Amino acid sequence: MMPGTTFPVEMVSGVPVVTTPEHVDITNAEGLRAALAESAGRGPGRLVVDMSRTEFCDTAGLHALVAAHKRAQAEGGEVRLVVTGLAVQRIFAITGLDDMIRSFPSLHEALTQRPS
Amino acid sequence: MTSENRPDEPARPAEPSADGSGGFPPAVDLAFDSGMLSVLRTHVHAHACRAGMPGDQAADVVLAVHELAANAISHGGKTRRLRLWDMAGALRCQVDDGDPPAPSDPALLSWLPDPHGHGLWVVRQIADQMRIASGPRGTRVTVTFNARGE
Repeated sequence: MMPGTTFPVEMVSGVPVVTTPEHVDITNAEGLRAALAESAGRGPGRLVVDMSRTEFCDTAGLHALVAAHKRAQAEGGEVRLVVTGLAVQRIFAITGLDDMIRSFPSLHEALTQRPS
Repeated sequence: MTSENRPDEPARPAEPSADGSGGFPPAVDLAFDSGMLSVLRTHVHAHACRAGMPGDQAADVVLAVHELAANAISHGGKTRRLRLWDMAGALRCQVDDGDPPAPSDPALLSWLPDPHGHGLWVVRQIADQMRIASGPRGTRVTVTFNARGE
């Protein structure tokens, strides 16, 4: 699938939102990287990745997200995630990345919560 | 991996050996590529549940075996295989990448550098036993997960 359709990007309240599909892993991590890189160009710093449809994510997916988060931090912003799947929460917890990248249970909260 | 009987222990049922020969055959034995990762995860989940693992542990096992399979795919070998053995209260999984060394001459490494980052580290957090046999033509990783009670 073309990255543009697997990882749709839309602007919501002035913030680029990348939506991820049911699984994010080595089979599509490159597409995710491309979508994240494109999104970074749409507005510096803030980026939301909506993983609410994602039930499985592996370390390849994590690497793409961490790279985007570090890029955003370099511009004074951050990546925020929408995470609802238990296995996705779990891999973030196992790797300790839940301390690095903030996740929220809904897109609304990810967009509206004030920066800490 | 050989089972060791102490004199005061009753004989254990046959166990799969690390390469799968002897003991009993795997319940699953399939060649895979990147297009089969979802199928592979489904198999692992089913056998994890069959081993008596609660849902959250089964999900961890799926993640660990997926990471091994993803490593095998990333290393670019032509042949990758997954084998699963149903054991009493446990699940043993083996992922071959390429042509691993024969069991009689294993080049055992306790740690493989993971150029793609963190996949093997995640496996180590989840697996109860992990054995790696790596040679110039291929690598075999064998992991065992013991079912945790509810």
